[in-house]
Amino acid sequence: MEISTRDFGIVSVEEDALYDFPEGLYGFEEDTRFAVFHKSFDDIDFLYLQSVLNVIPCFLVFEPEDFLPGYAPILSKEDLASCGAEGPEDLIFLVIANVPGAVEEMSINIKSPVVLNPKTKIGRQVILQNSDYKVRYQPFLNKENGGI
Amino acid sequence: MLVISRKPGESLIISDNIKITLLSIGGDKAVIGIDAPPAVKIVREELLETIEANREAIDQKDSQSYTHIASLLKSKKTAKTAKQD
Repeated sequence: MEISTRDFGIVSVEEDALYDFPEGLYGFEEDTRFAVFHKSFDDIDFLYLQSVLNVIPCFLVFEPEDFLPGYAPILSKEDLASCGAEGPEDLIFLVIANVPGAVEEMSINIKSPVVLNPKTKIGRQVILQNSDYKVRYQPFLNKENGGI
Repeated sequence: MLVISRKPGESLIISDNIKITLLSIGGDKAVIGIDAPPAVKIVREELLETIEANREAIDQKDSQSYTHIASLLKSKKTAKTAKQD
């Protein structure tokens, strides 16, 4: 399927890369279908979460393990049920990045990851129970500043 | 910040019409009940922060930013490998 993207014009994505977000994302409740695709930049694969219905929103996302190998999300029973999962191992987690002018101050939202269920093709943004995970974790700065 | 101690079952009142009751404490969690008029908006802080972070995250980044992130990621990976050795 071909989708209009914010950064790359028309991009062709596999049907497999499309997810329904029944509730949208926080602040973007109208956008109920997203595509996940990647673009390579200087040998690094960057992942994008692009609304299929609108060119904006589009988010730069990362796999949390890229920064936090021990990422251990705890979901409430309600959130697990709404994702159609028994446990976090059934789900794919992506974290949304915020890139300010000073790039090393980039933050990722490890408290509220985007959660994809590859079986049901449903996606949601959930707020985790982990009290030490921050909405703005800065992976390139000292750990003291990042919250973990 | 005003700090008030409450035992489970005890309440405090804010501006005559909002009542906050400490219902129970268990482990590292306190369960709080709030009685307030419907017009009073109540959200968890991290939800508000997430909405703000999402709204800020939709800006398009220039290619320089990507080059910079790529180099930071590479040096982070190198540091990690070095540590494991």
